[in-house]
Amino acid sequence: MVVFVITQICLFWFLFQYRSTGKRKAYFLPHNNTIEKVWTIIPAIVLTVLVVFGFFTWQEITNSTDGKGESSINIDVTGHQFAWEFRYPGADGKLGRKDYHLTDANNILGVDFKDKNSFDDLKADTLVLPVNKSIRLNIFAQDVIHSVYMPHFRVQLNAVPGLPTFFRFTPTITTEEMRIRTGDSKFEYLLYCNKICGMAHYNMQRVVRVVSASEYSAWLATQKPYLTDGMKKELKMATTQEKKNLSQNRLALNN
Amino acid sequence: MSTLAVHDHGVAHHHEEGHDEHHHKATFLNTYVFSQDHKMIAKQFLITGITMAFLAMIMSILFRIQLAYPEKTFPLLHTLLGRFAPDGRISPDFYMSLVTIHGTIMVFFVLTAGLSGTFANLLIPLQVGARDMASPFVNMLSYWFFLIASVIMVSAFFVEKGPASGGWTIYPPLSALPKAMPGSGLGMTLWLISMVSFIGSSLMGGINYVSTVLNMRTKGMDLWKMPLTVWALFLTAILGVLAFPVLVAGVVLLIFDRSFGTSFYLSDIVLQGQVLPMEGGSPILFQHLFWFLGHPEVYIIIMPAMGISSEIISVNSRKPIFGYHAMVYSLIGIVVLSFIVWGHHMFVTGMNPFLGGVFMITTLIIAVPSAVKTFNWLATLWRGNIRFTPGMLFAIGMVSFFISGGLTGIYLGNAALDINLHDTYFVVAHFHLVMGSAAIFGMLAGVYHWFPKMFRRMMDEKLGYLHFWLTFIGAYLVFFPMHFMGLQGVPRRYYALTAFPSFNQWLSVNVFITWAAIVAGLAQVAFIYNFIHSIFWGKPTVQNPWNANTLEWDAHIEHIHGNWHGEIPTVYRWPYDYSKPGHDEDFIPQTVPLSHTMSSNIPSDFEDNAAGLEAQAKWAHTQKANEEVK
Repeated sequence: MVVFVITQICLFWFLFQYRSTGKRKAYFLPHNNTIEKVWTIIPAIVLTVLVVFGFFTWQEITNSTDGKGESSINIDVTGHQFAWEFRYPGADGKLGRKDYHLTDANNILGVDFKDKNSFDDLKADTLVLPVNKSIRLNIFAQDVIHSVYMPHFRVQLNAVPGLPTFFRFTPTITTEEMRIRTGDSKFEYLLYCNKICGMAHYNMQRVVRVVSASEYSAWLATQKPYLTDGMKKELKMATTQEKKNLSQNRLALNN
Repeated sequence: MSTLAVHDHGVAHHHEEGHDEHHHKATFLNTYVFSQDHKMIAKQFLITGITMAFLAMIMSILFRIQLAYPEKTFPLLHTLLGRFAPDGRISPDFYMSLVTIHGTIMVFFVLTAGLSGTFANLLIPLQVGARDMASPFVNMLSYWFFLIASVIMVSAFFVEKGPASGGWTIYPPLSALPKAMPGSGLGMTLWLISMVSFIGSSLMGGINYVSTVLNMRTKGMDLWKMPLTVWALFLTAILGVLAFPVLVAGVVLLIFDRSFGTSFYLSDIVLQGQVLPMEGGSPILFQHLFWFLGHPEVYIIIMPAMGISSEIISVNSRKPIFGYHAMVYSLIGIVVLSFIVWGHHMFVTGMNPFLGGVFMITTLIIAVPSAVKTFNWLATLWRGNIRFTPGMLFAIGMVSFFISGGLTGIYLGNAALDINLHDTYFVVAHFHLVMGSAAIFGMLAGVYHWFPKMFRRMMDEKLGYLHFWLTFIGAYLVFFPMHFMGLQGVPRRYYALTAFPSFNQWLSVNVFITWAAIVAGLAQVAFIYNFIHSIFWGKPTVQNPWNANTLEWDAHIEHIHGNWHGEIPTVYRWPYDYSKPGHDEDFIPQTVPLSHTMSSNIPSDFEDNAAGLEAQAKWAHTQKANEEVK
């Protein structure tokens, strides 16, 4: 900013100061190595400082493994044309595996129910987060590239089909608190798409709500499981079929 | 041979070559249409470029209207655009097409071909002292491929589902799956064909520029005597020749994915509930290939503008460019570094974060040569004797925009800050200032400055000033407020901000920006009027209207095939001897031998020229003796 002001002022001041009078001749100054070295080295030093700070901040943000004794809440975010789907882990705190081949009208995320961890997974349409708790968003896309963008949290990462990614962050201010601070009783944190993804790209948003730990567990208890009755029916057929396969395999082994 | 002695070199053997143009008859077709003369090809590039620029500008005003008045209907739009604007509002699909084609045309067709194509063709042969390009025929083909590419690009507006609409960066899978959006159908196919043809044009042009500069310089014109315009255009051509083929690779693989069922860029896709069979590809691969060209591309755009501005600022400050060698080395530095910074477009794509750190470092290093160039321009102006021609004003505007946009680049180049700013209006503001406005100002500066060379007439200065001030202020009013929108997290490429109550506050800003854009757009009408009127009825020019040193002002005003009657002049000095102390005029053209300017020579003029230095010492001695006698 300072540099901006100084250089722009120099530019226009020089123009004003040295406009042609028709009498004077310009000062013949082809080069001056000292001053050229000065203004190569000073930007180099300034930029080095910026790089070092930037590099460490970047490391801190992207170094996202849990430390000892820490555990982040895992939440799946999946983007498709034109909505975001959230999947929360149930009581076991673990999300079940997914396989995109299994996607159909009931199982829109393609959750793999061979993995028992998936049985208690929950479905939500608001991203509710407990305050001051480390959150790990697992980011997926189904059709084209989307981008999970939550500017209030300084969170952004693209959702790329075929490339699962994650972003770890910790919300520090609850929605209630923000409403008081901004003086806007309707304030909501938002998560929206920030990578061109098609016709309704401009309206692909979900509300993010940061709440206290107790409110969070109360909310979580009211959420519906991902495994609906319809799916259970389908699944039972699948499991019986599997058993058959399994016994056949055993027979084969016995032979 | 000493530089002092060469000015009387051989005369006869160039004669035949010089009268080459009498061998074939000049018809309308081979003079104006299938011309192989570099000056005519330059004009063809310029006029095609300006036409494309106007189309792209009209597109930008159309989508600005939608952004400013998202709820309003304009029946006129329906009349003009038909199904693209049902009931008077631009449809979301067409909005996307507009931003996509606006970006594509401006980046490639105006600021790459329109800028490099025009000025490399015009200036390289004239400023290095050559009769034409190394291969005039390939040069002509280069223009025709460009024209074909332009026609195909624009023709996409006439297909049913509209032109490509996945953004000018055409990231797959969006661009690879015709079902993902209407523009990814035939419109996208046409985009890809057009780009392949465009790259063909750009390669033929680039190879020609490089070989002309390396092989066809006149006597005495060593590399360190070339004007900065030629240096910039030469290095731009090298950059283009090395970078563009990578985009062809990316585009061809995309064509395969679209039309032949391969999966280079596709994997794990469920589109509209349907599981697609592609597996194993990576959409990120395309981004790497695209930005491996894409980042050098922004320097392909800005470097000619830098060269043109350096030359014009020096001529009109009546002062040598400050730090000529530093200017060249910083250009070379930019060329080399520009190949290793592409990843800063991809910090938040999910690319390995370690790579993000590396690209952040290289990106901030490239800011150093840019800073050096800026300081050198300022130092050139310092204590100059400045003439404000319209060309000079535009060159100064280019410096101003380059500073404003360059500084925000330091924020964006920082991976940690980019997390929040990526793909917001902050980015839009940044690149529109640093490569959009700056490069277009460089191009306009060049048009005003070399118009007399191209059309043998002068442009009207008053209209030039009007054009400059309206455009300069307009561009700042359009792009400056966008920084603040971006800082608040307003994403680019949104059809309307109405879906977000928190963005309502930006609506009035959007109205303001749109009106600023319309005024700046109208200012271009002043330019186009001036341009066309001056071609036919402008004041005829004199041989050297700006009292400049470079070789092109020594060539004949009348356009002849081969540029110079008789032999090509020899060059004796660098192009920036302005206001040299001891000389009676404030400029000394490159063709004036040192032996004619004994009173103003300085020791550094005689590097590697011992005989010359000796002669100069002798002259100084006699001079002294004469004075003593008096």
